[in-house]
Amino acid sequence: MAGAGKRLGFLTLLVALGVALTTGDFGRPSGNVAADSGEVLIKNATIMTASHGTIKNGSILIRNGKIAEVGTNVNVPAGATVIDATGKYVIPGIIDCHSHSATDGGINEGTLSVTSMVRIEDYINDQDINIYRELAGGVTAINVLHGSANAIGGQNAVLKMRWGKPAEDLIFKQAPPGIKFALGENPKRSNFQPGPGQQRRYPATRMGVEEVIREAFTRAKDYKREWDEHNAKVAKGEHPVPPRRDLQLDPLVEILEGKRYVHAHCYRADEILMLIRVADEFGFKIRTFQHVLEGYKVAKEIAKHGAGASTFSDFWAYKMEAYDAIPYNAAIMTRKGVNVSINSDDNERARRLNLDAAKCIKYGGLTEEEALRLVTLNPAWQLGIDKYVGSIDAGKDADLVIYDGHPFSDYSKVEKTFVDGAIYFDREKDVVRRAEILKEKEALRAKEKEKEQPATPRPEQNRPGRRPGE
Amino acid sequence: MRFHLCSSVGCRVTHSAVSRRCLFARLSVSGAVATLAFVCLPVRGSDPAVAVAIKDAKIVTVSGSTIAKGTVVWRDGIIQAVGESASIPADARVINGTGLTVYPGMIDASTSLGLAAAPQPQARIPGGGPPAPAAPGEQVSSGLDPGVVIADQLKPGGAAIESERSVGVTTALTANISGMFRGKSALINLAGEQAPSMIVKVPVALHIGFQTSRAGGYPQSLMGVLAYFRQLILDAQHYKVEWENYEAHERGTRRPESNKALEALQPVIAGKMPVVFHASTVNDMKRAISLGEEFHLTYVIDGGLDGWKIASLLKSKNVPVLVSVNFPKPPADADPDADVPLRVLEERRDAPKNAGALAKAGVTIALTSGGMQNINDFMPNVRKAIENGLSEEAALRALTLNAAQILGAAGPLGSIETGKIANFVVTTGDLFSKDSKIKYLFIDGEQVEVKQAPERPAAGGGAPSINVTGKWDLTVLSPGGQIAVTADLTQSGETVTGSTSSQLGTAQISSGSIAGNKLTFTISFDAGGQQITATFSGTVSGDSISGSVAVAGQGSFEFSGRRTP
Repeated sequence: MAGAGKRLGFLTLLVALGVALTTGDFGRPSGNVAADSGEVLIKNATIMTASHGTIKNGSILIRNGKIAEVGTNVNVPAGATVIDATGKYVIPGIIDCHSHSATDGGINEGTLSVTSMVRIEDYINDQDINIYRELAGGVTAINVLHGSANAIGGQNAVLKMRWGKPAEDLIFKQAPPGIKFALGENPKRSNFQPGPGQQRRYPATRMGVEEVIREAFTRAKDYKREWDEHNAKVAKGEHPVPPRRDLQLDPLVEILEGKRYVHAHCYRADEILMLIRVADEFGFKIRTFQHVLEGYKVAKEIAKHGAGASTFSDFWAYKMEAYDAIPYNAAIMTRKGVNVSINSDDNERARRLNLDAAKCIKYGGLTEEEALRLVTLNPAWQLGIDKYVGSIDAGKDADLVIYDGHPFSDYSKVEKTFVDGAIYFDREKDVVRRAEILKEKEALRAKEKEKEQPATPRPEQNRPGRRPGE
Repeated sequence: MRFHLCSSVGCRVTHSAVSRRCLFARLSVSGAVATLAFVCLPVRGSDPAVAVAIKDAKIVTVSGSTIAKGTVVWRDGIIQAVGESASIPADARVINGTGLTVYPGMIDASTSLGLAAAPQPQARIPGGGPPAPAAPGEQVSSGLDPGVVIADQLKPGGAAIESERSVGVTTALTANISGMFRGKSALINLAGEQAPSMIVKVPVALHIGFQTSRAGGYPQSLMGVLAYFRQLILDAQHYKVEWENYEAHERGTRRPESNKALEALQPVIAGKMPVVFHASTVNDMKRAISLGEEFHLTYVIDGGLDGWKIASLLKSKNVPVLVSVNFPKPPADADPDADVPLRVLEERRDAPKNAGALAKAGVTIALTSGGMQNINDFMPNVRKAIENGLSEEAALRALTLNAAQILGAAGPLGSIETGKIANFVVTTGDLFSKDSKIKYLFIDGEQVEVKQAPERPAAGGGAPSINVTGKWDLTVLSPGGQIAVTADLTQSGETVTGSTSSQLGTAQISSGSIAGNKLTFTISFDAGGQQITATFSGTVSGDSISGSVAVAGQGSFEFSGRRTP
């Protein structure tokens, strides 16, 4: 089958070279498609696997978008596209466990204290340039969360950064559903004044936040009972009028049934313990505590509950509840047995999560692999996708990043980022593309100036943005 | 000229006129429209019993083949005959159509004609935040009520309707322009002394925009809007089940609570009333499609500027698109040196290709003005669409029969066929030719005066195509309330002189000029010891003008007005 191998190799080459790059937004690979069946070999690389140490002079074989083989002794199939990575480093694609990128407007439905009915998935913006910029920082998957204005916020969406694909193809299909919770100053609106003529929203205290969550789950339990009784009647052959479907309570029932992950925004030790108590009482689990700046104080309790912690490396003091923070947080929680990740919560920070992970070696003495896991394998577990991504192991998705130097160095740059074995960011192509885009813009501008008379702008819809700090 | 022999009372009424109008009322199902059956007032018309015929004209029937030289006859607003040798009744008023072309009246399926100015979308703090508060005593409607019936809000007449007619549009679909639920729309003929006589079909469709609550409160985000819609549809479905169950077992069953909003959604969830989703970006259109498919709605997309990017999806789901020709352009006050993203530039370049690409993909399209501010851009933009790949035939259908079909009104509208409503545009040449003029416009069989839309001057200027000489009544919308201004203008070439008077006193025009269809003049006056300079600049369309007035040190306010006869 040498002929077939050759043909596949050619297709792969086209993809690898980004030949299909056509006009579009900055860096937009509108013609870039995943290598369906092609084979790519990355050879002579320093491979930081995140699961089983670092392989010097190693190779990775990509087949069908998956990692087929990894090691020092990898077979080179005829026709495979070979990328020589001598002197370069390969790490698993970075996973950002707290992002608001790729959304189309405000990330908070901040009108109610419980907004479990709203879904991030409904308003993914596949055109958001931050997808591409984050690819340039080695990010291959993100956890897009609702904002933190509400005790119980909206449903999250885990995305793969398949830049250029339509919104529905960005969804990380195997990721279990999740939801945002929030504790403390944001849900009690301490730092947000209601608009003139607007009522202050309940709750206004930490006690109230707890009560809102408790009340919501009490309603969810009643609702679940109603449906269980209805379904029992139907099973007996009766035809009762079904209860009203309640989109607010459906996701809470899924939480109670262990089918939906809770990602809880929090800062203080007391509120972390509060939520653990409420969760224990109602019989559900918290999957991650987000921000969790005082997690180091209650790391044992977090570990015992089985929750992960997704924190910043060194970002704090931006409000009262965020003062008692230390750069050792991630390391201490790790040592106490908590699954810890470092997240961005920010379009810009998302592009240098490798460096934020590196800080945890300086502060707290994590090993290189432990630090790397903070932005790869650990967030993969936190999002329930560690079977597919998060480390360089045969069988996992070929979500990979090639750096021109050690990924924990300030001076290193991402050269290529792969998602599902396809190159979605290529620094070399990017540089060429910048000049092309400038040319395209100038040509279009010149054409417009030739003929166009001024007129009305395209009408904008009234969509809110995000308030700073939410 | 229109011939108003009567207003609503004391006029001569023919039996057929009454029965026709009553028939329309009966055909409609909405409760709101049931009242029309009682109204049934014939409110306009010369003598509708008298037949009218245009002979020896080129007749573009749209539904059938074009008649190179033929006759079309109508009586009482209904086409009686059309053909090469249609016989002309003895009593007919005969119009010589030699050199003229008769088209079906154009239908604009995206307007808010006949509606009071919609509440302005609320000013927002950049980057979000709560909506601005309503002024004291002002009741802001949330836009969340699916039960709003546009027919209840219609007002006849007005400059907007007149200028829409001036480009050859005889029929329009109208709904509110903002809010999430924009009303159950009305298809209206653009002539009539009273709203009921304008109505051709109500309710046509439920109009929905992905817009947040205007009154504050839930929903204030796009994802909230979608969740709100989903819950409402689920509730409407549940409501139906509850009531069906109750009606089957009245005795022994607690009656469900009545709910107007859920009641209003019943024809929608049954797929009987289409939903018009206002969506222009790919993502918004996909959101519309996914809601439409999830709840098995009959749905249409209005706007669709980026439709060409998902033409095959639209075709595969059989979604008709009311394609706006309100193409994006650089803002009037754009800094010529400011950086513009490539995507925005591409959007401007590609917009005129949209209609052609959709038609080629087999998507059913209508062309609409899409809420453009200056209706004089309508036909030039249709021409741009034609220059960019839309065939003239497809364009004509999109402006007539397709639009009628999408709106479920192809029975009475959209083509020149016996039995249809006598809505015609009669032109001196091809409808899409730049040099062609509208000679006559007939709506419901009656001739309507056409104020010739002023032509855009060729690049580089040329003689002005408008004359503003006359007395104008202007209304300035200042923050302190409306200010009535009377302007006495005299135009000589491109120069305008004259004076204005208002509650603030009288003032001489210090400088005034015409450029194309734009009028600009500056006045200075003394207001309590303070010298105030104001510059009016507006677009003139026949006898109406609208634009803005810049007052030095105070900002810029909108104004509009009309020339007094």
